[in-house]
Amino acid sequence: MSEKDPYQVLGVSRTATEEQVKAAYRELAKKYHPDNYADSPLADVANEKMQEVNAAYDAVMKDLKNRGSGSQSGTQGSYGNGYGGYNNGSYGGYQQGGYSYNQSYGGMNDVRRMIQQNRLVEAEEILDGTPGGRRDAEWHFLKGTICYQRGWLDEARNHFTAACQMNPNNPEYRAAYNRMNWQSSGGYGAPGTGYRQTHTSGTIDACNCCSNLLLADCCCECMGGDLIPCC
Amino acid sequence: MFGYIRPMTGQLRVSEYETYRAVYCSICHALKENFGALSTLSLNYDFTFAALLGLAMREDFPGYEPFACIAHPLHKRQRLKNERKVLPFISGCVVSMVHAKVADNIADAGSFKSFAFRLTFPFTAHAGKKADRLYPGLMKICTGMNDSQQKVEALSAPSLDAAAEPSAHALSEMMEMLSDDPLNRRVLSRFGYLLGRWIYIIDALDDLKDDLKEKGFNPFAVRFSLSSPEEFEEKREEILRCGKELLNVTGAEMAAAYELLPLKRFKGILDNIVYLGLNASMERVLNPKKTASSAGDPVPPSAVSLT
Repeated sequence: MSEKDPYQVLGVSRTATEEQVKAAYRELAKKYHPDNYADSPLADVANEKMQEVNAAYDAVMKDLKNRGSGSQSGTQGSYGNGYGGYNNGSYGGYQQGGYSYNQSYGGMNDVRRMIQQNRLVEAEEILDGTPGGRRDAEWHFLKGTICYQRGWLDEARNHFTAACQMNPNNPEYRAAYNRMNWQSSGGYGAPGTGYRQTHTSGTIDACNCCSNLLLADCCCECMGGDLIPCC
Repeated sequence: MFGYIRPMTGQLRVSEYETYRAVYCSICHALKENFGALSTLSLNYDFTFAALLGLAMREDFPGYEPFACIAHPLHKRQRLKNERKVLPFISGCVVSMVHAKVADNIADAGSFKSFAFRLTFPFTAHAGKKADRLYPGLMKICTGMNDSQQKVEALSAPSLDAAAEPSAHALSEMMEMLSDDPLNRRVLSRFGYLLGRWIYIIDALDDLKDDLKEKGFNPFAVRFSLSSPEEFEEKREEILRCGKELLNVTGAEMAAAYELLPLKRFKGILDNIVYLGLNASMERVLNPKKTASSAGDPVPPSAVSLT
């Protein structure tokens, strides 16, 4: 990882301006955003890429600062640190948040751990051994996660939907459900990460009005409100 | 099942288009060199994409050379200079997949219809065996795919996920062989799985009407309990929406895996295929009439970004 050229990692030339570097970094950060790879078997690979991009950004910003030292070194330095700091913080926070959240759950801890260790067959055996009457929202969420990791995306979506119907207030189930809805309407990554928006932003048409409403609903729910009561 | 994975050529740069053609020609050459002139008939776009991906991940690149093609005698074409890693492997994949397809068609079709396939069988079998000698395991992947497909189709009501599994699994194993790095192999395995799944689903949608006419197996017929083409027309909207959503979800996950591959070259072409070409193929299958009439006006450049 250390021997890679930071300029190459960011995909910018050695003569790139600070704005160009920042724009390139922002694009990559959107692309490898952990939300895009939540529940994916490749989450760790994306995480590694993100760290590589972060390190490259820091290195390039430091380089820029040295190059321009004399005239505006002060402002550039604070800018760079601020941006890098912002990203590291949010990333670490997200991960830890996710894990502690998982731990607050009771019965299905073993299954969660197995899924994290990629022991999908064992995890599924335990789930399938659960009698029908005890298959709650979490059961459906975990079953959906296993299907998702295998690439059985249709079944995964059905299970995430069932989990959300049984427990509409759980943000973890909701995120998985929303992501698959977003993707099924032609979006990439997770809703809200801003990765690869193909339609021009700011316009509302028949194609994107539902996803816009869904996003607005997500935002409202983050703040404790609810725009669309049924989802 | 071939021909869905190709670029939206209107959105390629001229240089990218020429590169794409050069790789296509190079596969044709590798086929001829390794498996004889007849095998070049099995050349297709889907494996051109696989070849581009394999070449894009390699450190070394041989460069191009001009050559005279028998099929196009008036113009010189470009091809890759003496590439010995990716292209022979891809040509092996092509002949083994085509052989699997021929064997499957013979098993599926009635005695009259399978006549043409029976004629080609000895040739594809010969090429397939040779590919298996060069790349052990290729034949097993393909026969395994046919066997599990037959098993799935024999089930009473297989889900779409289960029906797509054999193709997805086969592509997953083939794509994995494009790299030696364990991390890249993991990414390629997921990418290949989703690619195979995507191809299976779009092929099933495309063939649904014919399958209903001929009473062949189709996962969408199972899902919507269809038994005649008329029932398809009744539920057309619902079926196509379901198919589109499945393709979209699969495509989005495929793109997520694709973005993790370390590409050294060809990014413009590969991005075009993954983000524009797949959607264009989907539109072609979902709205055949509409796309045929509006083929002259491609998506305005402002509506898409290729970065």
